[in-house]
Amino acid sequence: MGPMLELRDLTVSFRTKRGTLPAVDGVSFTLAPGEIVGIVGESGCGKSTLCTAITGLLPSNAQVGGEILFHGDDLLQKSAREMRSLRGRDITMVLQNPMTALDPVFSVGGQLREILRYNADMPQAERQERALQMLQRVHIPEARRRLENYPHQMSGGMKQRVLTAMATSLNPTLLLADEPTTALDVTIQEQILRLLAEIRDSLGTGIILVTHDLGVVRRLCDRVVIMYAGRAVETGRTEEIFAAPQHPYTEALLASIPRIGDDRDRLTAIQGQIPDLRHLPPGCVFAPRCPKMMPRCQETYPPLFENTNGWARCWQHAEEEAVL
Amino acid sequence: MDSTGPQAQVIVRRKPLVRRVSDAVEGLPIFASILVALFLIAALFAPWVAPHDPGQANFLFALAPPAWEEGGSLSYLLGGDNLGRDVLSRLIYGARLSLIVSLFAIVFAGGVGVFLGLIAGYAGGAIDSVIMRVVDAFLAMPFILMALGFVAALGTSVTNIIIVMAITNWARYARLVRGEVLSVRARDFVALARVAGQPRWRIGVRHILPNVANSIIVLATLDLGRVIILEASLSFLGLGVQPPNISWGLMLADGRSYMSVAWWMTVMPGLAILFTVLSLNIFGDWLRDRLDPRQTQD
Amino acid sequence: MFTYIMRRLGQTIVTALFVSVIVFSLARLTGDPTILIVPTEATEEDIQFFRQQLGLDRPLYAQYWSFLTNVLQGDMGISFRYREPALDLVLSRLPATLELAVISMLLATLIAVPIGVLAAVKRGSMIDTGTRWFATIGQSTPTFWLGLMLILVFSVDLGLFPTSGRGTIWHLVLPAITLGWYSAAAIARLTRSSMLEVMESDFVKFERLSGLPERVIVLRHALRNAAIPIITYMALQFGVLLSGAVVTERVFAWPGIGQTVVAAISMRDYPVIQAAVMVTAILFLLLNLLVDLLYSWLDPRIRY
Repeated sequence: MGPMLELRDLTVSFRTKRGTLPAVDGVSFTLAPGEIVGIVGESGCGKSTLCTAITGLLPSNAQVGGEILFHGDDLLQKSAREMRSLRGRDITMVLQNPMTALDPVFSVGGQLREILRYNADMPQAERQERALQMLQRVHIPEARRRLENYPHQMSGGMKQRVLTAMATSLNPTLLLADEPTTALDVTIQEQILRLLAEIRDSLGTGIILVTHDLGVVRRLCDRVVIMYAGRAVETGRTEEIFAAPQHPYTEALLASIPRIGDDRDRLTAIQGQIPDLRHLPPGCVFAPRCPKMMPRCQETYPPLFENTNGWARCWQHAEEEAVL
Repeated sequence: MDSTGPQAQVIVRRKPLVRRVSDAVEGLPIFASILVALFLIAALFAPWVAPHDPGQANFLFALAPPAWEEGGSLSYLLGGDNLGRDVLSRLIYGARLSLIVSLFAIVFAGGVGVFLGLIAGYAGGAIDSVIMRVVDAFLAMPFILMALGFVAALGTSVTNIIIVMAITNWARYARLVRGEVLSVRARDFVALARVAGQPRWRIGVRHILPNVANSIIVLATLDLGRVIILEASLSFLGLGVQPPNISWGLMLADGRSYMSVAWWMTVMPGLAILFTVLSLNIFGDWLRDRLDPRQTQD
Repeated sequence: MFTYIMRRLGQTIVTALFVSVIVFSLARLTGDPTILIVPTEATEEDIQFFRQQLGLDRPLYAQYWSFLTNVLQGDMGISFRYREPALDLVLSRLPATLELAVISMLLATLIAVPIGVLAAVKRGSMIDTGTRWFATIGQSTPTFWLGLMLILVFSVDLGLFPTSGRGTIWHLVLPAITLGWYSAAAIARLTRSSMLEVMESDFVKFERLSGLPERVIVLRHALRNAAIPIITYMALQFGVLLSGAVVTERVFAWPGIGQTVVAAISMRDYPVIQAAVMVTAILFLLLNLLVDLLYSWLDPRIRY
């Protein structure tokens, strides 16, 4: 039996008035049930587009290539209707900003029940019960009263829990979390992360966690995929990547995290800027900013080089065996 | 080691004038602009553009149909009215009246409205409340009824009509400006200026006014059409400008009795109003799209 | 919530007071209204006498005070022309105007809202472009001209509807279309832009992600959220409608307030003019107050 989710060479470009924008280019990775995979990168590296592609909600000007295999079925070949029935039930997603992700004119309980109504065959009484259970499962105090609350009566952290409850109400196989903690206070962040871990443990859900916060990755993710300018540049088990990054970008990312006890008095930033996706240089996309750049890097696009942990897309591993 | 990659230093040069002009008129609605231009030409140069004297009655041409109909003549391109006056020439002079009335009305309405709006927004507190309730009062009265009321009091000379138009319209400017002032005041760069010690009036003029100006311009442009229709409505009712002044509304009132025999007497002035206001509205919308997005970029 | 109601009520009362001031001043703008009331052969002494009788020799604020107290008791003077209480006269004509206004608003809304929603949902399509054009042209059309044109085509040429008067449903059709035209255009435009804005919200995206059918998202969630500004706007449109009613009534000889006021102007029948302006303004204020209170039912954020 193959992995629950497998992306093969996924490519997403957008046709715009000013040219074609390759938001995601040839990304591949897998996800097993009960695994948490982090997708890390700076803003604009394509991680959100990746999620949108998986959920089948790309806009009409998007061109997609490659495969997204969910339990062996290619999602990209499915009809809109089929995708809709998967969404909310087997594939769910939690959004970044809890303040705006809930409909302000409907009660929280009402929105929960609605999801149950349209995704499952449940009589009304059971929906009521289930909604209550859902709130309790995400540890919302006084859940029965909270069912009748409106979103504006809840704090950000509580709303994020509600969103998580909605996303897990039907025990999904795959949960996508797009920066679930970015908009929250640090103390609340920890609670949400713990909640996600619980979900993984109790439901066996596979979670894709999109973030730019390496601390979150370290805390929660089993494996991680590092993305830059729409491409996946490194992947592997979290601990090993943190200990020994194989790609200069990953190295730079890790180096830029400030540590308590450091005696540097300036934060290390990565030199240069993210390239314009419409006018990418030939060869490695990171080359212009890479401290270890070689002439070869600017000329030819590096393939994936496998290692014990996973792989890295960098020419410095050329002596080792190439995969693609 | 500094990066020597493609991210070299970018030198910002001012765009050449041609480029800046072409950027400014990007997306300009051509058809609407031409119509607005025609309206302005007709209004400003009426005596030279009109083929005939608009008040000259000529019974040979009484109820003459437009040139393309049977019995029409090229001399009276759009036909003649019941007294044999050239409809086209009357339309042109009607444009002149519309422009004069609406332009002056808006200048007065805008002047008073912006002034009071600025005070309300800036002073806040009781002054703001009082001004806003007065604004609400003016906005609560249906504008035609209000206009009629003031016409009854002041009379129907062109000057008084302009004043009436101004009275019925100032409130919208006051409300708009006050709202803009409040939102601009709350923005960061104003707080920064205060912290930097700039005097309040200086902040008002240098920072607040330019932001507010855009909205005022958009409102004024869209208001032109509205006032033109309002003036036409009043003269149609016989309670606006009086003959021998020429107004599209008056032409419509005249033509009403002859609708079944001379459709052009009512259709032509109506189309004139429609196209003028339409093109002004399209122009105003374009202006709003051009001016506003820049405003929201902070 | 209670403070909200109280505050709005207070504002409405103050605004109404200012309206009364404006209305009061209408008759006094060009000076002494005595001249207009007395017969032409009156001597200087007669004029003085009248002036005293009508209390016009008192200071302005005293005059205003009696004006106000009279209004609050329902007395807005006697019509010069009809010799009847002005307020009663206006109120007797009000139902006809309201009938026209309400029907027009209903018609406009029933057409405009679905069009606006469709245009927003099918953005960029023919329906969208058509709606935008309809909105722009509709708001540029002079109401009275539209009425005349409709009469020309449908009554005179085609003979389908009566040209004027009030009575049957047939009499309502053309005037309602004429009056509702502008509002339909304005409401369609607002519905479209309001829906567009709501459809971009995060919660709509989340609902899609949660597998809700598009139909439910649009009609149940998006529309409900978009409705709030639309309903506010409709209340504002009512003022525009009352204005438009004046000319529409003239064109179609509809026996409402508009006709009455127009007739009153030429006679300088101030009591009637004042009564008409006062009544319509108060009506407008009350309607807006009602809508603001309705808000709290629509938008839970205000309720709690």
